[in-house]
Amino acid sequence: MKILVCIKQVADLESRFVVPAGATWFDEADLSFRINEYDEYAIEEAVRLKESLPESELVVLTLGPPRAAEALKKALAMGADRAIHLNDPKAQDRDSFSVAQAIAGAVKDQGFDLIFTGMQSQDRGSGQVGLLLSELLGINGVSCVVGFAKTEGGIQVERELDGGLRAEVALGLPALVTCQLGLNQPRYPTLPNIMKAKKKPLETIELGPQTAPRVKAQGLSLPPKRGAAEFIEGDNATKVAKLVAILKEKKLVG
Amino acid sequence: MKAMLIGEVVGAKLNPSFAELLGFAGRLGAEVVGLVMGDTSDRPSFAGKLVLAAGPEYAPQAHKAMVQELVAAEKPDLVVLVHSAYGWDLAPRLAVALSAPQISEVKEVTDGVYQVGVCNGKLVRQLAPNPGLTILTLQAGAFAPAQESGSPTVENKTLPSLPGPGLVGYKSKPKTGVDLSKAERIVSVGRGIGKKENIELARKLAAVLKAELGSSRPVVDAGWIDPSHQVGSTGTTVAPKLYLACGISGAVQHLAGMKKSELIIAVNKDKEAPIGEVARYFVVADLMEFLPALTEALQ
Ligand SMILES: Cc1cc2nc3c(=O)[nH]c(=O)nc-3n(C[C@H](O)[C@H](O)[C@H](O)COP(=O)(O)OP(=O)(O)OC[C@H]3O[C@@H](n4cnc5c(N)ncnc54)[C@H](O)[C@@H]3O)c2cc1C
Ligand SMILES: Nc1ncnc2c1ncn2[C@@H]1O[C@H](COP(=O)(O)O)[C@@H](O)[C@H]1O
Repeated sequence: MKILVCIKQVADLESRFVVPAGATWFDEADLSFRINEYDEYAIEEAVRLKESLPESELVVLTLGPPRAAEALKKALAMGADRAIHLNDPKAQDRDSFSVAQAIAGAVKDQGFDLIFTGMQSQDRGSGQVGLLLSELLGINGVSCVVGFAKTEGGIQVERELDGGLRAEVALGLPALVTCQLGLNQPRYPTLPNIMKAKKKPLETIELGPQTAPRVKAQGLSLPPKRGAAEFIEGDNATKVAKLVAILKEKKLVG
Repeated sequence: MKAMLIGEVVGAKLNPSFAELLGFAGRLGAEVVGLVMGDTSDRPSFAGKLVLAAGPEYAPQAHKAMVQELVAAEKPDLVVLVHSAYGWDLAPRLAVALSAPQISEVKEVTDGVYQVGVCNGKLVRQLAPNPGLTILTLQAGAFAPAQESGSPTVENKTLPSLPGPGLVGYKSKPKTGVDLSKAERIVSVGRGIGKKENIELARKLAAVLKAELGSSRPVVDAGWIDPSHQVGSTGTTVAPKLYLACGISGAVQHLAGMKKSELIIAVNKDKEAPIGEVARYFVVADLMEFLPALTEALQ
């Protein structure tokens, strides 16, 4: 079985984002980056599948600027066999379609039986790249998976719907699934595995110039201040006293 | 301007969010073609045309083919779905089949420029699609539902039978644990609580406030708390008198489950966390310091 996982490196969401005037993406200086949370579930599920089918090969791929190689190294330490970096210093200018198209171009002749992606990226959050990729490759695809099982000749997955309902869906291989939070418990790479990962192959492919996007970013801004939140700041005792007074005034405590 | 609105059928019921699609089309003054695929006897009321396509409610390849057929006949400017498990699953397939730009989880539109939240709602991006047909999914709850009025002309069709992913059946999460839907006070913990053991700090505070304990999704996914505590679009919807959100950033799926609470108080170390959009008070604090001190002061 040949398995592919597509991952994206995203900025830590607890960062303070700064958008330079006129820019369409935030300033990346001083930010820290990590693997998109949804993609950690994708890696874990793929590694578990590989462990249950020892003859398999597990490839991890990202399209991103040079910094994204770090995400691949972590995925290798979690259990992937080799990595592909589609290098594009201007990756953030691509729309989701262009990302999916570049990935499809790189993997279409490699005969993957199963592809795992996250259901959405935490920064872009489009929830598109996974199914765009399966459609471009002409294979089965299904989104928002919280349960995964390999069956005779295919897979059966649970899709999460609103309010606690799940749909069981069966599909044949080759197939792509997009992974939702809670699918499994992603492992932490161990130190020996981090060391081993350093010897695993990491291939870098330079991507050519981008074609015109289907969707153009015109701007990026802070959301309009809709709320009227009153901030309670100061030292701990002051904050506690203020909140106690509010709770008393609202008759929520005696 | 013409908009094709695609409804979602789950368990033979048309999702009421169809009214949000109508509300969106109404705001744009668009002519409406509704499309409902699956077997349901629910009929939305609106002025325009309604196509009912009988067949399985989840069969993405067949649904895609039906939309393609209808787009060729109707030539809409927009194909619009709700950004839900149904909408985000069908929309990218349509984008490829129809070679059209797709914009996800739209929360506002002005003059053909769409606003979408990025980075967990901390930033807003303005996006403009190339001219021609555009595929949109709308953020759940972002557009006011239209008042039901009018009755559409109905056209009946049958979905083709095509190979691809197929629905085997539905399954509900077992209902055990707490029922937060009727709680009057909720102390809710998010990932900011740091680790399982620290949930005790919130539990103690909940006890003195006579409140139930709620949580965001990552706390459940990490196995720190029973799933019945989860508040949000895939958890429970709550509307207590007091909702104290501790270390919860305020992602839209969380807000969907608690924004109707009477009084929302956030405790978060990041002043820019989007929970500030719905909170009345926002305590800028580290939970490790603040929760024990508040509990002690209230005892
Ligand atoms: C289809 C779908 C459905 C979903 N359904 C739900 C749902 O039903 N419910 C839900 O909650 N989520 C849901 N999610 C997930 C949602 O998008 C967010 O990922 C999630 O709500 C984030 O949880 P959080 O706020 O606890 O964590 P984070 O976003 O990681 O936020 C943690 C917060 O804690 C703060 N913090 C950290 N340390 C401290 C400290 N020491 N003191 C004070 N503050 C601190 C940080 O500043 C941050 O704001 C869903 C996602 C998808 C895609
Ligand atoms: N630049 C990228 N490189 C590799 N995979 C990606 C990239 N962008 C998105 N993906 C994959 O597609 C999923 C959905 O992303 P998005 O459509 O941006 O929400 C992510 O969880 C990743 O698995």
